Amino acid sequence: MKIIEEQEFVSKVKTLLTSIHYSLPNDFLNAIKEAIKTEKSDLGKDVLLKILENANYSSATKLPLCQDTGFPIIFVKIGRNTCFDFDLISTINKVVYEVYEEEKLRKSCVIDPLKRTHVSHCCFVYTEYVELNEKCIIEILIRGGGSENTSFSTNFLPTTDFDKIINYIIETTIEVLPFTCPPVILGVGIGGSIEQNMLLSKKALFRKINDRNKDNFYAGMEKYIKDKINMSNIGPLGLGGNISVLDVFIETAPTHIATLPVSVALQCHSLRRGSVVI
Amino acid sequence: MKEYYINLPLKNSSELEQLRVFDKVYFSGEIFVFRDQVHKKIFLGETQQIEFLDFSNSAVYYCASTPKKIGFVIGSCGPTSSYRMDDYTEAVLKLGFKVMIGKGYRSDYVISLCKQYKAIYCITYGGCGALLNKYIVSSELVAYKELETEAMYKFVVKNFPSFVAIDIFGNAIWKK
Repeated sequence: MKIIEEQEFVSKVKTLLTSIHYSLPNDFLNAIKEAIKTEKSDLGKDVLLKILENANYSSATKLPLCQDTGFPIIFVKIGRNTCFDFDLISTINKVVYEVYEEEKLRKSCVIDPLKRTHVSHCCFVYTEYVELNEKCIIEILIRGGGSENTSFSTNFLPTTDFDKIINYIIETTIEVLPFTCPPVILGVGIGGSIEQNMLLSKKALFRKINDRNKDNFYAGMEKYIKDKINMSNIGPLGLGGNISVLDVFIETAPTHIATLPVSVALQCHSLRRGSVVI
Repeated sequence: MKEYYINLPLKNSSELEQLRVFDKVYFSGEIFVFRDQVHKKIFLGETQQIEFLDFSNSAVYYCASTPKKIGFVIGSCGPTSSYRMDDYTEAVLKLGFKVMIGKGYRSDYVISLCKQYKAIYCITYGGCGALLNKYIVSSELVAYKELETEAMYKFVVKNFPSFVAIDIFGNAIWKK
């Protein structure tokens, strides 16, 4: 039995949560560099170059990549022979608050959603037990308002044709894309219970660029959706071009014989994600 | 696509007549910075705090920056999605604003307002808040301090980059 101590946990999560705000993941940076070569629109290319410049400037100055420092969603994957000598959830909440204050990240949340009062920081934590031996993995994704507002979901009939579902994903994404910051990546959740379905689409965003679904059927669907959306000419920041989406990741789960929930999480180009093993 | 350097507030609103969609515009001078909650207040007429201000021929930038970092006049300061301001835009234009800066598409209603009020909407580099810090010369809290993150600020900017997305003739980049 491995006991994870608070000090080590806090220090590693702090380092990860801090660095996430000042650098884009390598796989994503490479995808932007590739996109600069294939983007046909001059304006689109200009935007892609600015995304790289912004990432470099953020790393150099420690000014956050994006002013929307959003809220972190944090997945804690706990190996079955692992335990904590502290209260996991309250410690994570405390670390988030401290990092956001120390790094001067924006208070982007309101504690009361309807009255819009108590401007502060917040985060959402999901824990799960996994077949890892004595360790735990912390995965963090920062979600901004633009990405949250444009993500969507629906329930299909269990008898709905594949084509109709694929078209729904493509058409709805094209409709909402200009209201976030393209080029995006798409996480698609198919199946599950409705709350798990939305989570699947968020978890999919942790997959690396070009990491295809292991099932060829879904891998083909991922490529098809990406290519179709890139024909929309929305382009980087909606200024026109053939690079609107950099990758599509589909995740599936068993579902009820009567249901077929589908959700799509859009993730803007300010992709702040990372993980650490403890 | 042409390039223009424009000072704010505009000396004369006719300066906007030369601009067309896709033109690149570098703004210098004063811009007012506010977003959702201030828009709602203006729409509802809760304007006691800003009555002393002159907004004629001014620009509004939809942004809420991160707090100032040591060595900089402000933090990261990119645009927020503009469509959320659409239904409140006429109330803001009535105050005299002629330039709106943000990111993303807007409604047909806003396109018609730009035509009616001879105003323009510009898109700047969304998601590039660190980089846009380079163009901010100073920042000052102006009103609605109680809104904290969403309070109204005034920035002085130098060659702040943007693209005309709706011109005063009712053209929009996404209608081309």
